[in-house]
Amino acid sequence: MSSTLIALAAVCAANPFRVAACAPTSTDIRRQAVAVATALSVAAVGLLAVLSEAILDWLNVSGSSSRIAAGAAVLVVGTRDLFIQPPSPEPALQGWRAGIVPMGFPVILTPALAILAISAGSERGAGTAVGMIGAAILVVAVIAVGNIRGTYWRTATVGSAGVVFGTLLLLNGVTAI
Amino acid sequence: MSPVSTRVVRGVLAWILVLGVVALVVHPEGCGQPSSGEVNEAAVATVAWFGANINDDGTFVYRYDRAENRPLGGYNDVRHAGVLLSLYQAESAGIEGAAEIADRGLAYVDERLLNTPIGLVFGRGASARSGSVGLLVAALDERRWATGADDRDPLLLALGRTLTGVVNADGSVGASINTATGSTSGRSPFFTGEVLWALARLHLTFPDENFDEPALRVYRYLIEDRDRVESPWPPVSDHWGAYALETMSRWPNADDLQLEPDLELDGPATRQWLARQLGLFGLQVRYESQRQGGITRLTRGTVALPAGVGTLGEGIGNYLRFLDRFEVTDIDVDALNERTNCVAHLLTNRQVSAAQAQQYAEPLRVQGAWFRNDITQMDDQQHALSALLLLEDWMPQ
Repeated sequence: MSSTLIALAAVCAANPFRVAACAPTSTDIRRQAVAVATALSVAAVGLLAVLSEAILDWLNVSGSSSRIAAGAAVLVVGTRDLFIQPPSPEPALQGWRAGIVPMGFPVILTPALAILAISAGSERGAGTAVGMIGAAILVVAVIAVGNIRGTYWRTATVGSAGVVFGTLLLLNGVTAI
Repeated sequence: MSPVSTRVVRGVLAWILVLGVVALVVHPEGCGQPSSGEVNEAAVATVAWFGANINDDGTFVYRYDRAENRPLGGYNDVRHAGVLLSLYQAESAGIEGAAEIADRGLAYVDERLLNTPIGLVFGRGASARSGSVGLLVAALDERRWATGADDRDPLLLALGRTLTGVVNADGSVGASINTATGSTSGRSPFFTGEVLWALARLHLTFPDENFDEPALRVYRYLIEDRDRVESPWPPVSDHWGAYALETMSRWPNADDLQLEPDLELDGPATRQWLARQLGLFGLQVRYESQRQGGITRLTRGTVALPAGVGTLGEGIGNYLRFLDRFEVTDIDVDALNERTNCVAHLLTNRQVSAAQAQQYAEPLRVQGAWFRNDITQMDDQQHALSALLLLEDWMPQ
């Protein structure tokens, strides 16, 4: 599993245009909320990556099969983005707390991103996993902070990329030892 | 419930839904790590099964239904040769008495050697299979190494010349030999590797007999063309090819086969083949280890034929030896070690123990064997035995 594939799959798993669609409309509050959502998501990804070996051992799943799991999850989330309208900013926690709900959870921290963090952490080490997925989350944050509208077509485009990268990841796990 | 709480609950439900889909795709793998002693005990028990299930005419009990306590009949020459091979391998590995059982099995072979226009073959009727000749060569050569007996050398060389004749100019291997005309026809997903392995062994044993030339032709075909030309589906995890590569890695000139650089044993084409093959073996071990009864019967089906699981061990065991001599840096060694342990665990764990065998009418038909749906076939024991012998050295003491 290459670092590029991890990063691209992570961008699709966290779909920046879905995040942008549910970001608060006020510029200042949006910045604060995005900062909170980014910090929380990177922390969660880091925790999962550090614990990845223990989690996979507990589940009796090999690193190779975890790639299949990550690919399947990215594929499912990508497919969802093709068919479901992007989320709205409301309901949300007030002010910067919108970075917790809905931006952090459930929009950025999807199951696909979590499984990807576990798989990448196990296969490439926690440092690389956090680096790649953290970079992807930063891309998501930059798009969410900018005044870019999260339209259906934009989320669906990233969703279709998620279908492609999820499939590649899944095949990568299938052909691994 | 507040609207925000509702949103959180919907998010949790979405997580559960996605995790449910993922759980259908990836199941826990029931793996472990047996000790080398446990693996050896399993191999000894398998040899004992062959000793208890050989008939006076040199054949073995071919298929047996333990629930009905009856043999199911049928026989197969390729598998007979394969059984002899596994027994001589066991003798080589130090399991006493294995060669004695195999030598009794040679009586069946001696009755079925047939002169044809292409040379001597092992088979019956209008056609013989090149695979049975190939495996018989491997068995007799293993006997030579295991016991030091060279009384069968003329037979070995005669069969080797027959094999040279079934190799086509492009390196492909004729599967079926017409015993009247000596012409060959058809292809087999396994005979290419079997014939290559036999020729590779013959070159090690008789280096002046030019068996390396046809062997290299088949080797090139196997690595470059076989999968493309014959398009086997699903792709073949070729344990016989693994045996062949392992044997070729012991040739004195293994470092320089005088082939195109791509095709040398450490060349890119060989590395690519190796990676693809290890991927196939690894995937099958992972899949098989997910078959743990209960709901996995619905999602993964019933367990594979024991012979199939054995071939996974044979493939991996041979490539471990190959990689010991030709380091390939882009192979995931950790994953390979995990799969090695896992397939050894699957084999030792599924073998019928002496205590389990007591509940059946004829315990000696059952003890030390592997069953699927209450039925065993002699090649289940053959492949499992060969695999255990190959894997034993890689297990912890």
